[in-house]
Amino acid sequence: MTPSWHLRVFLAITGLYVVVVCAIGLWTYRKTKDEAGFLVAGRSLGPIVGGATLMANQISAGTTIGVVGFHYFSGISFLWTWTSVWFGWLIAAILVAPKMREMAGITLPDYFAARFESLALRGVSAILIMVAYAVMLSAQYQAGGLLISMITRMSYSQAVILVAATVAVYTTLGGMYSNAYVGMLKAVLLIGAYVTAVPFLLRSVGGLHALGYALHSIDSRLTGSWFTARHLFAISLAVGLGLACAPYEISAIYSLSSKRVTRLAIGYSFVFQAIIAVGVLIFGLSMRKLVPFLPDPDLATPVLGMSILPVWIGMLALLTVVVTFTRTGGAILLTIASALSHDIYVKFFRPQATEKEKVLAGRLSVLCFGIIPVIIALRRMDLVNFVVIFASQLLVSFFFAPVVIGLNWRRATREGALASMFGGATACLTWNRLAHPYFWGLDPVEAGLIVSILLLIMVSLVTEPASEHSLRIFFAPKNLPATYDNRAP
Amino acid sequence: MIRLNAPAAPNRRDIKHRIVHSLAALGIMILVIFSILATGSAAGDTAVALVEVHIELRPGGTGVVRERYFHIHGPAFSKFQLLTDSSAEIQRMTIREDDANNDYAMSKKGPWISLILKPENDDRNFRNYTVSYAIQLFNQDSSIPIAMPAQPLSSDQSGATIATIRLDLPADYRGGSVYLPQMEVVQGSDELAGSFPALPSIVRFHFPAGVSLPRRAGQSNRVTQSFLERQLYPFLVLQLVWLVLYFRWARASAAPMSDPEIRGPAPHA
Repeated sequence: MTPSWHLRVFLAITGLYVVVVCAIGLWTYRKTKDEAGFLVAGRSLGPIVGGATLMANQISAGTTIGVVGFHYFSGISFLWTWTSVWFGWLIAAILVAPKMREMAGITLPDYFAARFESLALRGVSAILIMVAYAVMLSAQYQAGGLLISMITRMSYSQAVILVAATVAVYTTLGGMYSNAYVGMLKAVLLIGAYVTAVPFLLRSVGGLHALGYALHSIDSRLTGSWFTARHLFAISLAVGLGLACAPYEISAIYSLSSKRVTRLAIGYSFVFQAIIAVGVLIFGLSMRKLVPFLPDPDLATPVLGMSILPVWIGMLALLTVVVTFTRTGGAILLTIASALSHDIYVKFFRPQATEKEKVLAGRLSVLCFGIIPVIIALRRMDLVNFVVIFASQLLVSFFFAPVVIGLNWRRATREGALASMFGGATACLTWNRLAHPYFWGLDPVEAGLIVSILLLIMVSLVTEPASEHSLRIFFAPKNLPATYDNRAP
Repeated sequence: MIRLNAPAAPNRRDIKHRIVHSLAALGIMILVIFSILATGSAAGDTAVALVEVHIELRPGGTGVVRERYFHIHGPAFSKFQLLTDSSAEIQRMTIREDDANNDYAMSKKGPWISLILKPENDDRNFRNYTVSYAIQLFNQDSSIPIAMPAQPLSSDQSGATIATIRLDLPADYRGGSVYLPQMEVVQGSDELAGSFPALPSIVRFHFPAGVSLPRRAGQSNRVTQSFLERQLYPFLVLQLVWLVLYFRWARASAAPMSDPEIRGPAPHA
């Protein structure tokens, strides 16, 4: 139980954070006069804020609580999953981001509509985004509610509503602008927490030598190989490749000020994540030495913040967890809202909508989808984490091949993309239903990816090539500007 | 006429490059600091001992303590110094110093620990309570528990606490964890129903300088070397190399002239 003065400090800084975040929403409200302003920050983000935005989308509670718990439970070998993140960002930097930014769309379904000239692909991808991301958003709310209710005397329902309301307020007001600046705030807080807490922890455990010795004494696998390379590859594949095609990352890429900035922003995102990777590792390993028998590894971060670290550093560490819930929640919420307002409402039902109507539709979508995940979160599904992992795998199986290959292979066709999406998703679902061990040792996401890539290539080769008009947007000669018309269906 | 080139004002690209380099330098600096801290090692550092409590009271008043343990680092029990932490809401732990005036001097009876169970901010009188408990002691390099006798204890006569547990540690105890898998309130428990939170609570203790983890005779650095050299350091170096190479590539491949959009707004319809 947190002592009352710790509790007061935590509530005070959390309250301050909520106020600052809402103020950012209010401050950026005036910039969101049109759809591009609301959904992609007027394509104005520079490399540092853009890098923070990319990082902030990816670093969720799954990192600040889940990865710390993984290190606590399994030791150092989980560190190597970060290499898949590097690889995913590299794919994004080389094969995806520059072309996406040059296209200058609003949402990921914009890409499908432009590259494959298909309204059906736009609709299908928008619906999948809404469903999968609504579940993922509810998981953020649920995790946030559990953490805050555990630390404070607030009820779970109140905590969920507090998290959801904070996310909804700043996202409704400032859209991508507020997400970007809250992302920058998140980067500063995360790095501040790790840079101040890690030295203290290393001193507390007697340095890395002593830590290694103690961990080895508890279980030799903690300093060796808890996971095999094959396991690590399977665990990290969906996360790494997902970066290159994640709808919220694509929206962040659209928000950057130029094609050149995309590569620099991804680099800054690397820098932020490099520090975070070391921070969560030291958090998890130190906690295993200090409190070796926690009933649940996910308690490592909360217990660290409440009882191990000096109060101000501890409160900062806990605040970063709150920040990850709210900021990643904001990115997810905005992506869902843009799929509903831009891809469904505007493109299917009201193509002649004015900019003012589009922004209003966006804000209303944020509010609408700000409420639905709350209802899911209040039901406290025990299996929600498994659903989230499965939703991530499904998104990669669905989007990776049509996005990455479609952007870089002229011969990819609409039919190939459709076959790839549904084939990949079906393979992932089917594999997931099969009992362990999986056939041929393939993880569901690996099976989904293989089927998706094969179908894209095979079906594309036997169908009519895409039109020159659509190809010109993505395969124009160097230095010629893009010609995508955002008003196209 | 001689014309001197005036120093050019830094343009946006230069400024960005400087920021990149500064951040890369910052990253390197952080890694270096981590390394220095790591090699600073144990001598003179403080260590931390913890008490964690997870209490669940059964309906009808019988209390069961779950997930209760405290963890001790370092062999020098005689040098332990208690810094009472006011964060202890439901228990306090004391570790007595081994000094000449102490009846429980390490040289005679070995170190001991007392655990006091008392809800904080609770004014009720606990005079007639009795608890029973079982306890397991682990050496830090072993997963085999050292059996400790279970003994019922009554609350102190002032009624200020529920129970005080004294645990005599074996003289050859090398440090590790003490685990109390169960504690039952066997008498006078009705009033306690619902009074304990079912969440972990931790009391923090700092040990004075000079406490370090023991190293058994003949033990080499092999374990820690494998920890440092085989995974963590290669990862850090790889991460750094990756960052440097990435930024070199990003700078080279994203030269301003190759980016049409920085020459003017994109001509979207």
